[in-house]
Amino acid sequence: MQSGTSKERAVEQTKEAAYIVSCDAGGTMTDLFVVNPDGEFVVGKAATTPHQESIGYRESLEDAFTYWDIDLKKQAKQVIPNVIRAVYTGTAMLNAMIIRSGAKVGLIVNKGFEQTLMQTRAKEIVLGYGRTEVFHAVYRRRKEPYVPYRQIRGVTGRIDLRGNEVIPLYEHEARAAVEELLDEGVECLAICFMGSFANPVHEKRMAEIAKEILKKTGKDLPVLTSHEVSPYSKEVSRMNTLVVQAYAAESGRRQLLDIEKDLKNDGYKYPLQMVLAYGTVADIRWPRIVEATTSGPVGAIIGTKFLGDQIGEKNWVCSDVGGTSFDVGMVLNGRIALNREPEFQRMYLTVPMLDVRSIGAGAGTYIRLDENTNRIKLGPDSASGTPGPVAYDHGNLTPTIADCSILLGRLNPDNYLGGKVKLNVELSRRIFKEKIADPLGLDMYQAAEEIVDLLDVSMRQHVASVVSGYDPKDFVLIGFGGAGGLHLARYAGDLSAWKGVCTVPWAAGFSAFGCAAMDHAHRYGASRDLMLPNNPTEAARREVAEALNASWNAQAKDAIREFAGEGVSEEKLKFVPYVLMKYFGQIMDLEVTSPTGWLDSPADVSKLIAEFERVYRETYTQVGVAQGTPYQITRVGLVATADSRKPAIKKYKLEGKEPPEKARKPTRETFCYGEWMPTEIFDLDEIRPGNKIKGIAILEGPAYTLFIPPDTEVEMDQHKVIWLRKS
Amino acid sequence: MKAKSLTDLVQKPKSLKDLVQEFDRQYEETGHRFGLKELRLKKESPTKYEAVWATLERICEDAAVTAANVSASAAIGEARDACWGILAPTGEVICCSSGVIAHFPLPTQLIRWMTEQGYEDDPGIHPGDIFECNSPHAGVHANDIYDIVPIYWENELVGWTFGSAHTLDVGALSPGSLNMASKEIFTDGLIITGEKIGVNDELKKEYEIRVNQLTRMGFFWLLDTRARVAGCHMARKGLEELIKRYGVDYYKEVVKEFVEDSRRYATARIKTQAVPGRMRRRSCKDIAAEGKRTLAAEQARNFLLLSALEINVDEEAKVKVNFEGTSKWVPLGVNVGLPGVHAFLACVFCNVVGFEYHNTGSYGDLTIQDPPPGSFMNPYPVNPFAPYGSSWAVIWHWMSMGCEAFSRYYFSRGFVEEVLAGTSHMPGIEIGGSNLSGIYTTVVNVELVPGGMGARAVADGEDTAWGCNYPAADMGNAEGLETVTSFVWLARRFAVDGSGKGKYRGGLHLDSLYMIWPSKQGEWTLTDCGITNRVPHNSTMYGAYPAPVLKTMVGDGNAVKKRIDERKDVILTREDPRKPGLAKLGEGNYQAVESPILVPETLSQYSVIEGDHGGAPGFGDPLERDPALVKSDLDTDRTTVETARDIWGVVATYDKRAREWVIDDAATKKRRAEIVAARKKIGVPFKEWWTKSRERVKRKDLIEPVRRMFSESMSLSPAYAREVREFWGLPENFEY
Repeated sequence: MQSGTSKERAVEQTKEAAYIVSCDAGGTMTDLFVVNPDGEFVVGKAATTPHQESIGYRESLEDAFTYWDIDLKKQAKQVIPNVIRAVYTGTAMLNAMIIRSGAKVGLIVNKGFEQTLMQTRAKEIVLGYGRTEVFHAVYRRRKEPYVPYRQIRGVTGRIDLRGNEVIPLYEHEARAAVEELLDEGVECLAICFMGSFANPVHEKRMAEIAKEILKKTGKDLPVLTSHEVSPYSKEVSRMNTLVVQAYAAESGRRQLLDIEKDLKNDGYKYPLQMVLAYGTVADIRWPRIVEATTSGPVGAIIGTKFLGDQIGEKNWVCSDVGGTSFDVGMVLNGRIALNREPEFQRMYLTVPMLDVRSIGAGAGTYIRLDENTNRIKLGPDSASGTPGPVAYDHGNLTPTIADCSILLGRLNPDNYLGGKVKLNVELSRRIFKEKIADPLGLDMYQAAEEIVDLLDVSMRQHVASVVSGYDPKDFVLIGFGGAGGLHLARYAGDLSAWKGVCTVPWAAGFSAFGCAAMDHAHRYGASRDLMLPNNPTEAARREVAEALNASWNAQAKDAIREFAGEGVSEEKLKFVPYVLMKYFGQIMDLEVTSPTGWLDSPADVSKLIAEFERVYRETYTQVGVAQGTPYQITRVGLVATADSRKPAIKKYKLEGKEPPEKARKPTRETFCYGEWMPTEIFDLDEIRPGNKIKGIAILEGPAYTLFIPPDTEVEMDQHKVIWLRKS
Repeated sequence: MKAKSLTDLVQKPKSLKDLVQEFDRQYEETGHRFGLKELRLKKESPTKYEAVWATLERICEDAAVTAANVSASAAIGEARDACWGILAPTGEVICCSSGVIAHFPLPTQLIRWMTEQGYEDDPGIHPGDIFECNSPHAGVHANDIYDIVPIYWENELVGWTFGSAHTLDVGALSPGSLNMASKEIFTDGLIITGEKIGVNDELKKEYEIRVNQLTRMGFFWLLDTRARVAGCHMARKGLEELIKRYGVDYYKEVVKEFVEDSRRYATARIKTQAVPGRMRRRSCKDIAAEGKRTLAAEQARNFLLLSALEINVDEEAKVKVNFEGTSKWVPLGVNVGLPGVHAFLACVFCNVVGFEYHNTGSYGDLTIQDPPPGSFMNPYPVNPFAPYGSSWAVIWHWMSMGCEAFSRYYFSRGFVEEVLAGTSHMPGIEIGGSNLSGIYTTVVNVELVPGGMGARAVADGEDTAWGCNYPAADMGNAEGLETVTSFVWLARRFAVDGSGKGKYRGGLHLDSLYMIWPSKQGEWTLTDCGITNRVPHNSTMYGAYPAPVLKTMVGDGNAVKKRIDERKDVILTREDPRKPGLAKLGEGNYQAVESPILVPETLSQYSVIEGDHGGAPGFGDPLERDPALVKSDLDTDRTTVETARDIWGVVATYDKRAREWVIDDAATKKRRAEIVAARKKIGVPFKEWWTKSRERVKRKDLIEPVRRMFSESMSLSPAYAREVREFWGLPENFEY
């Protein structure tokens, strides 16, 4: 995929251009987004190579540069030194978890909680299940924990949520635990004690004892503590987080170091950066690498925010249709909410993650009929890339949404992934008719269209869930992801109900684009339990201000130290302090950025309370406001941001409404609204800013297809954003 | 007769009462909900039909997720003990959120009750009204409170939304969630019987004042009400948008089809998987109140309650349920109104029968014969003042029997993967005191809702995984719950050997150890959710054992503190059901407690309580268990070497160097042969057993609670009495 540049100019640029390279390594494909300072970009694709990710990375990078007629196999040493920033997000950490090739971890917990990993939380068992599976009791199956029971030891001691010592640490048990685990041959020691987020004294002492014994026995093992890895309340999720860090961090990091090494061999001068779940990047040597595990879907939402900043839109709903899932996030007044207990591999973690909500709906979603009622069931499971749709002819005989899109003529069987994948349309047709259309008593094409519509309705409902409580008129809906363009016009619903509905030509690589646009930032936080009465006195406000400032000062100190390790000096840092607040008694809290930064006076605390109440009303509307109720601060945190180089969204000159002749491809028939219609086909890469196309039409790229229904038209603006409107 | 559409009916000036009767009659006459022999809208456009269903599901889930965030209860926020949904005008559930499915039949009962009471005329039903209920007329127990909100479209009532949630305290005689202490309903707390608590979408001020005045934690109650009502209003908004999109006529018709379709789904599953016939299950619930502190003298005795379930499935998969033989109401808060019958059946049907589309149709073709009037499952026709504060104590038994009964139907047909041997049971440990914020709270151990699953016919039941009343139940994080409680968790272990043994064992429950902290002084009561004291509940399948009877343990605070100071072990959970860990505190410093403790007892700081959390029943003969599974349980501290030897007949030794158990195959073979021989020795032919037992029956040679139970059952159920006499060959005038 290529955007607006000539071969000659691109080759010339390689001598002096500064490139930003951003990678999104998915379970199936590795996307590489390359952009130059003029905002021109290319997207490369290659199969992900889980055993050695640097191979897939390299192949995808080479693919990207071929769109500029640059052969990296020959020209790498001229081109790569011009890369000024390389960012990674993907499955490096995940692979160690999936193939269970992580470290042999010894886990030390409070005595009495040795079986927490085996117990999990009951609801973790049904993570990823559809409603039917949740309710069908006999479906339940736990997965094996990453740390076997024999590698877990309990030590007596207890700290409460306010940091008070309830039971002192039994040091004789602590010593025995370490010695036994060393006998087990563990490769890493991880310590997770209750209440450590409020007072880590027991974890610190436990770590000291472990280190003393290690020193004595001449062993050199990493010793991790939960308050350092994830100092947040909720012991099950915190323990999961610590285990992921201990189990998968180093093997994941090795993959990243290999990618970096490969780039540096060709002259890349900077550290490789990785995306963190809260939408920033850090050096791949960042100690809390667990924060990168759930970063998969966040690239797109940051990309949306970045695009919004560039073109002047503050409120967005971003929607990403992939092969297996439909991910939706929201940018509200330029802010993105955080999910503080996201799911990962059927576990909850205490890793703050940008709030992206997913459902099992995508191109690979299976279509089935209930044998008892003949009701249509879509997913939630999917054929994904392997075995893929029926049309792949790789053994799957359950129809998928992609098969419908092929049958309806919306996907070009001769241009699937740029023609790299040959499709067996006949097989797809036969299976769909036999298993779906005939039992429903519907014409095959009518059935295919209605089922695609049904998926679109499910997606629309999911979007509605995210927007719930807000007026869509205030939001721009943007669609992307490999399959996004096939469904966007329909799941958007009434196009005029939105402020705007749009997509971009680089939609298939949008997540990677988002990664390139991220801040270089670290997020710090610690659970606290601070009470503020309603209408607090000056003394109460002063007390809270002092407590918060003390936390922020300590966190700022940590940030300065850790950024120094990444070569960033203090004066280049910006700090944004925040708290999590709720009305006392409530379970869920909300993140509130301190409007005054540090709190210099009781009046600043009042401003913080006012900000909380504003955010609360915005989130839950007035109905849930608990007037007269005390406030509770549950977490204190700080975001430290350093300057970083980001791609620019180029402003092009608007050309005529008619697409250029070279953009036109042979027309074909597509099925829509119950009939076959002659449909204009355009080459997406050749559409120019200012071009306007009326449906029914299709814009085809190698990895992205935009379907424009008859009652819709699209127009590409000066930033190459494609806007959908009612025609 | 051609069924009339809801549109036809509602447009005419028919009362809700008339409509309810009309729909009941249509169902009775045609066998189809609303008389729908054909699902016209589904046939015309199956995808439009599914699109509306997807929208309804989304509306319910959105309401649940957002409302839970507003709530106060740890039970809602951490463990989601709540449910939201959408109803037809006449009360049929159309769709509901995930959550506590036991709640979803209750609004139906409320609306039917309201129509019978003439609510349309007085107090009237208007847009913006909010009705609330927790009374036994349309509720299960006082702490499960629910609200309903009418939905109007152009001045026509087109449905309701509901929100239900467990509230931590209702101001009953004993603090908290499971008041068993009452002799009569008057001390079961603040009871709201279908009252209009709000108008114009606002709560009435006098309602809020009353809640604050009459409950211990009114602040929590009201936050929960706000959560329920906020969810109702969100769902209403979503529904209005849906009606706008699809048209009111389509909406009114399609919701009826959803209910009928769901009925067909449940019925088809039964028809496919069950063998027609009669299935009976019995379970006994004992309450050891003799010698306990009670409100009235008549409460201070030992009770035995007979739960008698009979299910008949015919060749058309129509299911009839009766409760003949169920024993009499008791002067303690474990009685259940008829809504409880609907609640437990909803749980059974949703989990093992019709789990695909949750609504009133999930019952399939079910006919319920009311339990004998005056029984503890239907006391109110005889005793309108029967207390009901802890009715879950008996409902758990019914849920377990229901799952087991259907599993037997399925197993008989060869659907072995569908078998679920029953549910686990838990105590109701209620601990009150001052929490970390210095506020008085009382919190019940709702963390135990996800108990052990019954064994499957192909695998062990999962441990701490599932609640029949709430399939997606969750125990939450202790650190989340401790923001509210006046105690801390010292342990959350699997209850060693706490489930039924079998070829496949039942899932284990949690063995939690709570310590009074930071409160200087705590108070506690002990009631239950199905736990028994001396009589195991009877659920188990095909030669397996039920879960063992366990006792709640209490340890003295001073003794615990002394051990802490001496750095001795204080995480004293039981080593197995025979070896209480707290025994290490020394004689006089611990006690095994049988349920109930009805009057709050005081505990000092550092006192500990260990719950006797019963696991789930097993499946099949324990001697057929794969020794490798026994080894796995030994290696993970879920069983003991003694149990392995005595119950499973597996001989194992511990390899200290390898730190794992090793099975001795030869010794195991020998041991199993010994157990079989021993069994043969004590086995007698049925005729011999019957003859001997008959003599005992004739002599009425039974302990008093048993004699009394049978006597009451026979007096309440003539049919049951007749069968008892026939079975034992007794004269017609025989009575216990």
